[in-house]
Amino acid sequence: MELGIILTPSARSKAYIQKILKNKFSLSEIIFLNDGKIEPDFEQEEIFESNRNGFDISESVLSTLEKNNLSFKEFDFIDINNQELVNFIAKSNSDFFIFSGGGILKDSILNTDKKFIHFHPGIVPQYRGSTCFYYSILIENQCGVTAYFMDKNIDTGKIIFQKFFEPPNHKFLDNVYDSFIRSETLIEVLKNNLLKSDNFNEQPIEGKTYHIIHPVLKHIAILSCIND
Amino acid sequence: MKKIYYSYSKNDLLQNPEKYENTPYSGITFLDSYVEFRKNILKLSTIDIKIDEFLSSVILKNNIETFENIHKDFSTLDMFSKLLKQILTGNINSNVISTVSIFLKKFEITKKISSRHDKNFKGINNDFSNIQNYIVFAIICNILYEKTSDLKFLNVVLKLNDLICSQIKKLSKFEQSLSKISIEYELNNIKKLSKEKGVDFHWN
Repeated sequence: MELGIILTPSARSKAYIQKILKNKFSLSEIIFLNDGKIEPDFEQEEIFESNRNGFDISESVLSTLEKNNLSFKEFDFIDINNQELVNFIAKSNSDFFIFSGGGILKDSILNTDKKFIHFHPGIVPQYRGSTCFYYSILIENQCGVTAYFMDKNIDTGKIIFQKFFEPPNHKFLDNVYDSFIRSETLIEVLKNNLLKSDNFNEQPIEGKTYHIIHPVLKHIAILSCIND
Repeated sequence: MKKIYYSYSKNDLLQNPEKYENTPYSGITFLDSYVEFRKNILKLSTIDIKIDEFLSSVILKNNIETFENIHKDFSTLDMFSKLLKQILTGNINSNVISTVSIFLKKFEITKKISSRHDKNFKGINNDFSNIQNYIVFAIICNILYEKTSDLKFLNVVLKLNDLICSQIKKLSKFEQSLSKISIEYELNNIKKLSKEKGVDFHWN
């Protein structure tokens, strides 16, 4: 089984690649979708929290790759459906790709016969949608991650693994907590060789999709974590 | 502590919809500024109106009998009025929830409400400017949140009321009073939720 990864210049990608290296898992292929977006300046407290959660948010993906002498293929866009990328992936020897970016996969990339693994910050089918972990904190004071194989819909693919997490005790949910829970689930999937299974669960079609959270609800969710 | 101004209704949200992507965290003072902003909007309305009064004033444009079994194009305000009437009777069945959810999803994606829809609930014109649609829909979602505790309703209420507040100076006295119902409802719902979650901020 050959495993590749598709990285973007994001906090999530930083957590994925740093933890994969720390845990000495090997990757058959590294693809870096780099649109050249300038990295934000992280405040010291956020860097400290990321370190406490097993990765360094201040270290760019490119620095990690270069520091570890890893060979990688770089593209100057982040669109997963870009035809140039689709052509490259189609010729790849990897069977699976961990995808750390966002967006819906179109037919052309799904037809490459590769499997794309996404770590979604919610227990599906109850929590679908990109900011669903804020809802999960407000509703049940916990979060979860679902590892699944991507299909053409949002958060509906076959389930590989699901894991629950305590809410955070800090305010950096978007960059640190989200990256932490997804990367921890990724490591657990790899440690337990869960991709080798041939019995993945179909999701029920019915489920709940949460739309982007309003900042008032987001603040209540974050403050409820800090108050605890 | 540095004062924060609630900025999510600053622009004309009918012209320039707010996507709410990657919104920053600004601490408890953000919630204080939200309450202050909404309360200032409430002060603009000088008359009080009751929902019943509004419903009796709505001129049904094509007389749909019910919000169910729609066979022809309909005015969105007629539809929302029918839905609101049924919700106020306390009969909140799965048809009500699923019909409201269709409009909720549309608004969450487009941030607009078309003034007419076809029988398949597809918007059939480019007139998104009838503010009464947004206000009545916000009232409906406020009540549904109150009855079901489903946060998807409260989430859309906040976005609808941001849009309504962004238009507030253009509204008639009647519409300002109607929006007062929705904003007061929202504030009560937020107050209740924040109390439940142990989040304490300035309400006065």
